[in-house]
Amino acid sequence: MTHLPFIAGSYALGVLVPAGFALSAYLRLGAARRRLATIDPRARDSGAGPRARPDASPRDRSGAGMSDGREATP
Amino acid sequence: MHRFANPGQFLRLSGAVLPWVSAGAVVLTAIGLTWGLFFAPADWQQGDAVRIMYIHVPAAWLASAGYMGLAVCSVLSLVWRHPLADLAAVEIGPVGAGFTALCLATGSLWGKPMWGAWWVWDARLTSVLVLFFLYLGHVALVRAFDDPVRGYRAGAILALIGVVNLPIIKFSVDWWNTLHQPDTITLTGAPSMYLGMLWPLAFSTLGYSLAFAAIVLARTRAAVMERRIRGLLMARAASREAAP
Repeated sequence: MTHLPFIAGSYALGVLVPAGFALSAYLRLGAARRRLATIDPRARDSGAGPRARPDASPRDRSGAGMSDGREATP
Repeated sequence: MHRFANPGQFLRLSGAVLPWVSAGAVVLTAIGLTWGLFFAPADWQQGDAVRIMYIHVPAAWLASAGYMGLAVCSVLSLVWRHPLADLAAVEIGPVGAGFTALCLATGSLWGKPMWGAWWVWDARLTSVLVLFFLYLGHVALVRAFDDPVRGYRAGAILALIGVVNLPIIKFSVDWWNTLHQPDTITLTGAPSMYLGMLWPLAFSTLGYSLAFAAIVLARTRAAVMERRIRGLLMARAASREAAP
């Protein structure tokens, strides 16, 4: 095979870059899931957290559960 | 649209879809790369170096497509102020930057044996480098404000301004006399590529696209959960303070 070092380098990068992103996403997701299950028991049951109220407005529904807590501060 | 984009619904839907997308990504990428590396024919002119194409082309496609996804999220963020679009944009940025870096690196590894240089200030290469800097700028800007909402707005404006670079990347090989070759595959014409090379390229492109989607979905799921955790902790702290 001609140009083997260039091909090997490309394939190594082509596997390592997506694999690195996938691994970090997997670990981050697992940590967030465990933390959320500790804090919010509803998330433990559904794996996804509470449902939006069916009667909520589109704006409320889109923002349901998305608070970063700023409005809760005095 | 809003019904499917509310965070609870998103977590449920993405939780159901994510394993299938991830499995598809692994299988299709493995088929495409194995086929491209061991079974696809070498090029009569470039020899085996053409096998770099099975990584470089999907990475280049995802660099542009990812930025288009970032721009769509930015429109949703600016027009409808949708919090899920904000989070998705934040999570697309680093992944897009990673795939753009992969495109530049594999292009360099392909360019050295073919052109005799790791880098040339060619219109296609330079415009992709600008795309990489736009991604990095977005990643930095959305994290640069104490108020995250201001960061999301600033990032969305930068992302929309940067969209002008996408047609420049696409047509750079037609508008200027470049060392980079013109497009081999177009939407309108038949591909000027041997089918034995086109099939593995199709598999690896689809596989990498699914991998990109799976990574962004997983990161966005994590971001939604982290935001919910912050909200719950803040609400708890506030109720504790309010208690007599």
